[in-house]
Amino acid sequence: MRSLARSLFILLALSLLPAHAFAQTAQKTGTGIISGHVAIGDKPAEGVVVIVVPGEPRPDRREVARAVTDYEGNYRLMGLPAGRFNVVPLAPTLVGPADNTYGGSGRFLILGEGETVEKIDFNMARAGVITGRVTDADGRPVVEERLQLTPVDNPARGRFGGFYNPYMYQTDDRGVYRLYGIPAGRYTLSVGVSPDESMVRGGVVKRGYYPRTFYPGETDSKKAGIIEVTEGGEAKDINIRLGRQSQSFTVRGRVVSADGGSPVPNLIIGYGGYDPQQKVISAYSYGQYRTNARGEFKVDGVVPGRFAAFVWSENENYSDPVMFEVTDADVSGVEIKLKRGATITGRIQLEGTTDKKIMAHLTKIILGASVQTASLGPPETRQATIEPDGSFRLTGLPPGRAQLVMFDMQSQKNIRLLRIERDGAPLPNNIIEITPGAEVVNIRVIFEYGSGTILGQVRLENGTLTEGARLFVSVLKAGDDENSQPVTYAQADARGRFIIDGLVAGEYQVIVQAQIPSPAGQAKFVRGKQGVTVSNGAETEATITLDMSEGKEQ
Amino acid sequence: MTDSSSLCPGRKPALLSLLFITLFLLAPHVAMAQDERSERGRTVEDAGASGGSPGTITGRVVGEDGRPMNDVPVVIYGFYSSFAGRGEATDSAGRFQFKELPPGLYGLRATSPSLIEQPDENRNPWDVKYFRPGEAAQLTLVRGGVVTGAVMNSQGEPVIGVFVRPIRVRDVQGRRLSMESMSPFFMPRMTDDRGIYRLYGLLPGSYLLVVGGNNPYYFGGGGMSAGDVPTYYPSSTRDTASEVLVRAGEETTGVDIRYRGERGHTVSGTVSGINDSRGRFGVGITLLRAGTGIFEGQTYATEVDGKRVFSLSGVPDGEYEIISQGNIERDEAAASVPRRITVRGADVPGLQLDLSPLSSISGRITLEPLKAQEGCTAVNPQTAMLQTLVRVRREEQDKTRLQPAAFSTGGAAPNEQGEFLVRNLSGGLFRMSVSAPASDWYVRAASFPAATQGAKDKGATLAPPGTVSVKRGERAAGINIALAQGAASLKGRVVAQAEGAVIPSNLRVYLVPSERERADDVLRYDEAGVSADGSFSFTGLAPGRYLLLLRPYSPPNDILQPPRMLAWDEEGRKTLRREAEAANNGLELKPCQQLKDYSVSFR
Repeated sequence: MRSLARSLFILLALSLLPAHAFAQTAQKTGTGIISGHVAIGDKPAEGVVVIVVPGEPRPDRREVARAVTDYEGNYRLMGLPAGRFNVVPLAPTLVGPADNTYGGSGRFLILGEGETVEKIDFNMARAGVITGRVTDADGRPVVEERLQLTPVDNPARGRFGGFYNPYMYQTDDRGVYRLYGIPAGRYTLSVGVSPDESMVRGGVVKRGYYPRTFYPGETDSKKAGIIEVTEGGEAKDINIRLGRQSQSFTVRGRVVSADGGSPVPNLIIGYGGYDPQQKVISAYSYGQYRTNARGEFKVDGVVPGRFAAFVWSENENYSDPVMFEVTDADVSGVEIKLKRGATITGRIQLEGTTDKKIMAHLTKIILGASVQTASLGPPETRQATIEPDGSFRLTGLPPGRAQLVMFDMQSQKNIRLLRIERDGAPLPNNIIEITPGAEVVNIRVIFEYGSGTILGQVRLENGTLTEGARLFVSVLKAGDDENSQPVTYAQADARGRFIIDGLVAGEYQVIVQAQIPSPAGQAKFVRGKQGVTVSNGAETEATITLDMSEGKEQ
Repeated sequence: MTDSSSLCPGRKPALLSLLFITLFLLAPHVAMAQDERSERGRTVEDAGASGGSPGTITGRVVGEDGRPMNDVPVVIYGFYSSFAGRGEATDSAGRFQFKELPPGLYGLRATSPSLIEQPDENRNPWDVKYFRPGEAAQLTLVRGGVVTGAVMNSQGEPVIGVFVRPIRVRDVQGRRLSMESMSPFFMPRMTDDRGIYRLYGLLPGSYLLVVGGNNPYYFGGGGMSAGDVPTYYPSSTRDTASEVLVRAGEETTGVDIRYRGERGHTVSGTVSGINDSRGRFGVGITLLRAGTGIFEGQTYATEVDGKRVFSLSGVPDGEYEIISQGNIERDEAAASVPRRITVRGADVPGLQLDLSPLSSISGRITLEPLKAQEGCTAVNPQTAMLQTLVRVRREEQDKTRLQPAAFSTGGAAPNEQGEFLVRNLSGGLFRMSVSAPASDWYVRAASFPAATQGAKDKGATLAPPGTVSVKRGERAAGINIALAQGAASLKGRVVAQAEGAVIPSNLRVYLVPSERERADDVLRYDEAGVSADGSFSFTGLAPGRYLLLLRPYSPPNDILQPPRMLAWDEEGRKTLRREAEAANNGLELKPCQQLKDYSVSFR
């Protein structure tokens, strides 16, 4: 099955779950202090909630502390333990510096035991509001229709990630919507299905749909009305008048076995938008379509576009995706062939420790095989769990180049996939070539456990970081090509500090890249690197220097 | 599960499964139902005639005015079956059709934003509504209620980006609702930049509105109100909260809430006892108001250094019960024994909740069909078996102190051999009910193994008729239920004897078996309400001789518990028999007889 998507789905689910739904027992406390100032322009911002959350995407991402700015705009977060944190202003009607597309997650900070860090300041701006009503061709309200807001220019500011209203981008029972916390700038606003998107609609879908319509009522994106949002301003009566609904189509097909041509019942069918240029299947939907006793399936509510259908299999079988195009009529006769896939079996091995507790954790690791196939579509990914005896079995693999990867839901960062061996010989890039239906045996997957740590400091020469800049750290094995897969990543904090732990003893290359947003749009990147020797169970200090006068726009 | 989530992918990530499990445990699902006289759709073709082969459920969706509703998504789901669920949108005549359904029982739901299924105020809320292949359904959608207002702080400034959550506590007749624990999952909405909120598509009834508190819905961060104790409309704690009356299609405006913003305490600890080394299943933690079953908060345990830890913030001072629950296997849950805690001015850390196995009740159903004869329909035993439903509900032992609702109800559909297994029950006394496969079937006999037989697997002990007592963690097996064909029906009317006399609205008709030796056969008793026009109706009656009795009935002002039949208790049976013998209204029902126009006079 396309488990990559599933894994992403899990990650997404994790990231979407309430931060405090994941909880740490008896909150650790300490004596650390973080303080700073929140301003709106040159005026102090009173009453802004500032929170501290763990700075890593661990499942226990619960709020650690909270403070509110005083009348001078100052906040002081106290009783903090040592750790890696994000400091985030929770201000639904203010916007901060835009440091990424989705709005920043605040300022990352590594706090030592009992340390006081001052001047973690935030320069915010008032956000604006867009409000209006969406009506149909008869002037009736259009209820719970999703709205899409698109900036015309790159906005200079972004929303902070700590706040999100899941219902904001849809109309209510009166067809009314109200978007707030919108950075000043120029936007277009639309409703409906884009004609060139090959959009997949999930769930139980209506037959009718609205073709994408921009404010005030244009289906042609060139004629889209421009909405001007000013700081603290409200763009009112941004009403969208929709035309008549278009009718979606039904796609019918069946699944037959590739060897005998016999129909295969009770299979889950998935389908996704197909991009012929990129040769990839984009967002796809599965689960609600199944083959009946005669192997037939039916997909309702398909909008015009190019799509590919496939079998969502979790067993020994797979299918090559079958392309179809929907223009102005129902489609029938989509025939998907179910094939028996290849298998990979073997054992895992852990280097670097004999600790039973760590060994026991291996059964929680999921081993994935991502196969780059010759056919269209995304890499087919299958997963296997590791049995207590260390064996694993991956099934249903299509022919192609299979790369083995590990997923560790508990983010034990100190266990990594080191190398793959076949009959005792290492396989380059962890790739196994798979022929149709092959049974690949004797694969050994070697994980390593590391307990070395790098305590890093980024030093800036010939310049400083502007607000909203970020420092990304990647660690490569010494001698590896700079474009090869890093051993691990980290982020340096507001003071240029970073910590990388769980490293196996050895020689590494640490690369720091500063991403500096510019009001003109394109971000500037500055790189620096440094070789570091890591020992097990020890902390190694490293300083990486960035020359801020260099760097290029990307 | 009655939710469209059955349309979700066959396999769900563990965390989402947990969410579904939790919803399953707390949401209004089929297992809640008790009364075996379920509402059914109009039969257009005999389900039995289609044999064991798949069938079709058809239907229409109409609006308040009775006009067909075009392009409304309708979802079909199975009751305690592996049926994956399907959905389709209605056509321009409001019609939908689900073909090739395996024999079984199905639920239907039409969904359209801001609309709700027309509430039937006369319907027993404990009934389940299901359909069999071959039946037709009509679903009526009406505009739900709307509540809107603003949330302000003590300075009168808007409180932005906080969830306002409606909790339905009474139905429109003012009867207190059970299982309030289900309400937290109903549509919280967030305040906008002016502090304004708008809740729509609400079922009619009385609501509490709550802002803040431990909120399981916040997706994407700590939330503006994280760690604050909940504020109830107008600016209260739960105990002093005012109710807001909501009527279908009406808008209640100006429901403003003054947010208190007090910081609450944190309840935290670890969960042990789950043997799930792969971490496949999640563990949920629920906080309930002690002795009431009222939901106060929910969270999920997360694994840190090999331990499952949890923490609930924003908890106000008070007495609580805390429960954790998780899955051992896909269909099998474990739970901790509810633990009572007190929060008084400080955090409560270091709780240890130990998950232990739950109980199950299993047995076998046998079918005794009749040869085709007048009034009886031909049946396919396999189909009939798959269209039977077994449900159990815990009988409250101490009515002054409510137990947590989790694991107090369950159900199962028997397999083709008639074997059924109801899992995931707490310990206690459970009343069993069986929904027969068709209206001419009845439960002829039910036998429960006695505790003295005490084999290892048989946790059942002696219990009042129709009930099974099972200790926590034990499996009560060997229950035999005989369903027989030949059930009769009785339709009639109560006529006032004296001219101009009014039939009281609380009058009820009781059927008592005539034979003295049947005095304790609970299955032979039945009761039904009398409509305003004096009519009453019984179906699924065992053939035999009965005494009919009219008797005033005082409906409970409170539907925290499903209605109890008077005959369930020994004292009730004695009273009924004494009064029925005095009234001496005898009647006999033959197998499959449909007795109509039966007249009984009321003095």
